[in-house]
Amino acid sequence: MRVRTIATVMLAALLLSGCYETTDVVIHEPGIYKGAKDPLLAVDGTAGFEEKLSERFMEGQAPR
Amino acid sequence: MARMKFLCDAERCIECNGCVTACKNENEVPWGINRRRVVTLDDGLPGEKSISVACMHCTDAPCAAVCPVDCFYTTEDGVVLHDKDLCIGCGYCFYACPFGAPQYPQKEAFGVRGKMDKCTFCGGGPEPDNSAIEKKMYGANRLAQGKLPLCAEMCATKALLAGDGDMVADIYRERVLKRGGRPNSWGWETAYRKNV
Amino acid sequence: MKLTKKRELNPNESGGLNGVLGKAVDRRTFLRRAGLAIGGGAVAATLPPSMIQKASATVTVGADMTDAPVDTKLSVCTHCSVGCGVRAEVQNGVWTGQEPDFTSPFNMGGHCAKGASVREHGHGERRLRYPMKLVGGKWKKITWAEAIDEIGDKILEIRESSGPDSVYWLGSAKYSNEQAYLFRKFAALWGTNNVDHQARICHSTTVAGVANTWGYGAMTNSYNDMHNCKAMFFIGSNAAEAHPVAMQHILRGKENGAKMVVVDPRFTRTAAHADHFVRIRPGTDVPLIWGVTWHIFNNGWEDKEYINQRVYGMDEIRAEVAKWTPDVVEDVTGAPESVVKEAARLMAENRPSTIVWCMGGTQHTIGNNNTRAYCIMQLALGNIGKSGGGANIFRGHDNVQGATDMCVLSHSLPGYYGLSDGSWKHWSRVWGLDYEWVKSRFDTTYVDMKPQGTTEEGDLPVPFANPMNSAGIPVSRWIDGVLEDPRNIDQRDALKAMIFWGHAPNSQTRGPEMKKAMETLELLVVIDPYPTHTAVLPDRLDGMYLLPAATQFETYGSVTASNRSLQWREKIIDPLFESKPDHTIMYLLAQKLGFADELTKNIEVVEDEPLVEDILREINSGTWTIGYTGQSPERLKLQLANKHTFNVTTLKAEGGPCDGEYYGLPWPCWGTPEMAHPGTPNLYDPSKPVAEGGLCFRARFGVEHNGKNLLAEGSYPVGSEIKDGYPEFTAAMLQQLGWWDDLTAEEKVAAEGKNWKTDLSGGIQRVAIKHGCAPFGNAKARAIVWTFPDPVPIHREPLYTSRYDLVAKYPTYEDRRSHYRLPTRYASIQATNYSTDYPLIYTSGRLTEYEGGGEETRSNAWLAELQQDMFAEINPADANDAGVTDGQWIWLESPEGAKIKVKAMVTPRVARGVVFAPFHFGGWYEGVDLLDKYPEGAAPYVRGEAANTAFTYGYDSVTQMQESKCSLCRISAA
Repeated sequence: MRVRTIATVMLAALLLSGCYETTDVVIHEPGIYKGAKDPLLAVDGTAGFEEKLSERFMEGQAPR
Repeated sequence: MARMKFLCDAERCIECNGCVTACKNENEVPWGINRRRVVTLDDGLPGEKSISVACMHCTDAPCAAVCPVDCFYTTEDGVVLHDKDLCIGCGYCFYACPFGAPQYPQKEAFGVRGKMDKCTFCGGGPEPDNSAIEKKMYGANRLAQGKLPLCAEMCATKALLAGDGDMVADIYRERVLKRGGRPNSWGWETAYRKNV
Repeated sequence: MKLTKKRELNPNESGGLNGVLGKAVDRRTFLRRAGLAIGGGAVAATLPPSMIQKASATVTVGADMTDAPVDTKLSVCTHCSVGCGVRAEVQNGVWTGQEPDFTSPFNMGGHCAKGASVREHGHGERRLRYPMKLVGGKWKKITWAEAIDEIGDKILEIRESSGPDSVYWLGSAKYSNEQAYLFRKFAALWGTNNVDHQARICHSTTVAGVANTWGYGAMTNSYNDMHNCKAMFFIGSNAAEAHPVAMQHILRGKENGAKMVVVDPRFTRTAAHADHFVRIRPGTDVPLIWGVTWHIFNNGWEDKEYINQRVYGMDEIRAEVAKWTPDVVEDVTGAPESVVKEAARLMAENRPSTIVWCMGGTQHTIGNNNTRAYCIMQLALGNIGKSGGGANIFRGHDNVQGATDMCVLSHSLPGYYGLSDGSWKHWSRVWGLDYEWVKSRFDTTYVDMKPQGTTEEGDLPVPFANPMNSAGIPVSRWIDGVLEDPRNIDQRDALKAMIFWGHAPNSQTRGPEMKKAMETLELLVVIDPYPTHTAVLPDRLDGMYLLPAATQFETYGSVTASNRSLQWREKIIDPLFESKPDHTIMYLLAQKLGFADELTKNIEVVEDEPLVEDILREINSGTWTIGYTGQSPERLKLQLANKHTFNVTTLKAEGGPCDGEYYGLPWPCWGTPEMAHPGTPNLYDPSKPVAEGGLCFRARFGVEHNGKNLLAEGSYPVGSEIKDGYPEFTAAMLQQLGWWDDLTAEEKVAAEGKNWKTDLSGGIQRVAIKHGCAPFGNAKARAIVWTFPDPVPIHREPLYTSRYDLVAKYPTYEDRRSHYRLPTRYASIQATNYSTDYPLIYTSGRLTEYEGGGEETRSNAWLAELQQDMFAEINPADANDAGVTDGQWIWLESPEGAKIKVKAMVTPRVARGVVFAPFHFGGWYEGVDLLDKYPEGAAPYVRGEAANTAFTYGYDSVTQMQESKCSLCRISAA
């Protein structure tokens, strides 16, 4: 009987635990970007990156 | 620090729509979505001028200012991007944008592109650079490849320039000087009076 | 409502509504719960399959190609004659990316809408996928073997019953040079001159008029050379829409200070960039040009020394020009004196100045007069043969220059050799075939019955002894070749079979009659990547086939840009679906028809595909007239790899392996490839030695006329050992000059009794150039062409004129009994005044987004989206008169009874009384969308009424160019 009660409670607990909302929620805060992090931001603005784009600009858009 | 800018030289733009199809080609945007378009003023009249318009990547972007879910972010180089997972497709940014840049797919949504879509300066979005998912959601990420937006790189007459604002300005300034300051086209005086 | 900048909000602020909203579940989480995975699968399902799949019936490539190795291929855009480099990225055989080709000196990476979208052709969603046959009015899939067999049997049956001239081979400006050459050879070995292509209806009047003025019928300078202009004069050219990338060079020239004049009936997008705009009534080019020339002569602005040294017949021109006083010019053209004079002043005071013309000038019954008048104005100003000057004639299709040079034309053999016995003997020798055998292929049952005629090139009259020597029916007139009473056609029987091999029928006039002709034919075959308007126009139940051809991106070979530069294209992808390259189809058909071995005697064939390099080598070995001899496949491939070394203004390589060569070895590239001639950047420019691309006018018209010297006087290319004019070089001339021993022993054997055009060793050319001379002689240009109907270009009113009061003064020609084998009407049409019932002038032109008949571009989703409706531009006043508003459907009716349903675009771009329509639409006929008649899935995204359906009768007096720039119409609300 006790075993059965414990089993029922555990089962119920187990089943109920599935009802919890996932924790992967983005809570909005005004003015704060909380989207995915763009890997471009890691290189954007670095010297190498800028140089590459400048060269590319001169190659394709500057008068030849 | 560079600030990425587009500039369309109206004296050179011939409304050939090369920029528009280059954008379609590179970003595979569906029929009906135009991240870039060419606008012609005074069509068929003296003084007719065309310019190519897309997201201008504003320093103080009104779209970002009004976004109720803050899905916009700006890169170090001043490219305004957004996260389509956060975007709720409300269309508020469309009100705010002075250039009509934000686009919304019609029904039969193009997958995740039921959300707002706009020019990314060929900088993709907040997914791994040049991954399949980034390509599908945001189009190309040329910046990560060391390239500039294809619309400008393919412009037929080099009217549309894209890159570091200072470098763009240098080229444009040189052209203006060569032209003697003001447009030299037929009907200009008629349309806009002399010495304007 | 107050919009608040987020940055000004305190991000740490909490409480109030913020807290409530803050707990809201965001969209991302919602989506996950709802089970809408953002992952690849769900998204991919909504993408067009082209993006992720190889467009092939059998092969499917995985969706994610980001990691597949990238192979870069270089090709050339297939949409216009500028020759823009295309840089393609290919992964696993799929064309996945298109990058700007910054290295190309022609476009420097730039593309118009068409060029920037060519990757879409690699998707091929609306392509013809496999051979099809019309059975009981339905399209049925068949195999290639069945198709070749059935078509071949029918053609051979027609040959038996009606002769080889009853099969018409309609080729294409979309071929590579090698395919164009092979096609012309194919028609020759089939035994007919009934072979032609789009050049007939785009620049035939240019080729005839210009070649007869100074030697060659091509653009004299280049797009790039326009950086050097001081003034530019556009007439009948809307470069901004027809040649958009050319504008890169034009606007650069303008920024360098050049003045830009645009003469056009419409205020075009090109005119919007001009310094000066002159609006004229369509069809009044000669009066306008003589009006400009009147001011040149009146003010003494002509280059007198140049005229004395290099021009014959200018006095006769002066007499004609004197009639065109400003008041007469204004009456006829509509352009006032001040405007015309300003155009003349800009051209005269800003030299060197160039002229640009296109279809607006060529497509007229007096097209040859127009083109010659343009040339003469430039000769008067002394502008030809100068960098920054010249006649920059912009060609249309990507390889219309090459296909013209290879003479996919009814009146000539490759290299403009003509159709005389000597020409046939020359080519038979190159082909390694017995001349008598070639002759036997023609219809010998039909001889000695024809009067004399002249060839378009102005050679001496050729007796029509054999259909082998008589110009065939031109593409503009194939309709009449079918419908005309055979007794009136100068060949045994009427046309029974049409092979549309890369040709849009909607680019031709007289829609209702064309439909009838298509329904009359016994056999109608379309060989094309797309079904085209041909597939849907006729109401037929059978006797019709569609064969899928590969595009130029699915094969390789050379292509000639407008400036005579040859570029090599690499193959980007394999042929899509079941399509095959054109030269492979030619070989298969020749096999069936029994002359494949003769066709490919000097050409290796691998799995039914003739080797492209071998074809080019054969072209090199025979095309001496225009110097297609130096551009070997090896030299072209070397240039392809070193594009970046060429200067973008001079087009000359500076250093690198091509040092000193001009980009594309622009023809004439004299002598053998081993001679290493650099090509000729600007024709007739004596400021350079011939060996370095210099030239003089060609001695083509004899040495004397009416007792006057036709050779140049005191003008010769730098370094010439003959300091005066001289005739074209022959073996005898080398001996007279004492230069014979400069030939090697082998060259002497080949050169004996030959001339610069027929010496297959190239020795005569080599020795002439060694002594600083041009192989083709050094003569004057001629302002009068005494072999043409109008030796001095004069104005004649269009057949359907809006100014009937001028007909008495400027009447058209008398009807002709036979011209290109067909009766040709002029005066009998002009005898009726249609302008009362049809009060509006009808003209046509291009849009940037589409090309030619438009089938390919209207099947490209990226382009189709930008132009979705066929329309006609109507002046607001005419719209009000007709009770029509902007965007409304209207009927446009022609005086010959055709009618088209289009949308009205009400705009002041066109003058009052003028209606303009773009000619790229098709797939509709007289108000009906023919969507149901396309093979399933192969209809273009955008269909519309063909503008040319409503264009009327009218053909140039020299070339049979169709009149599609000036007719009449009336409009009414639909």
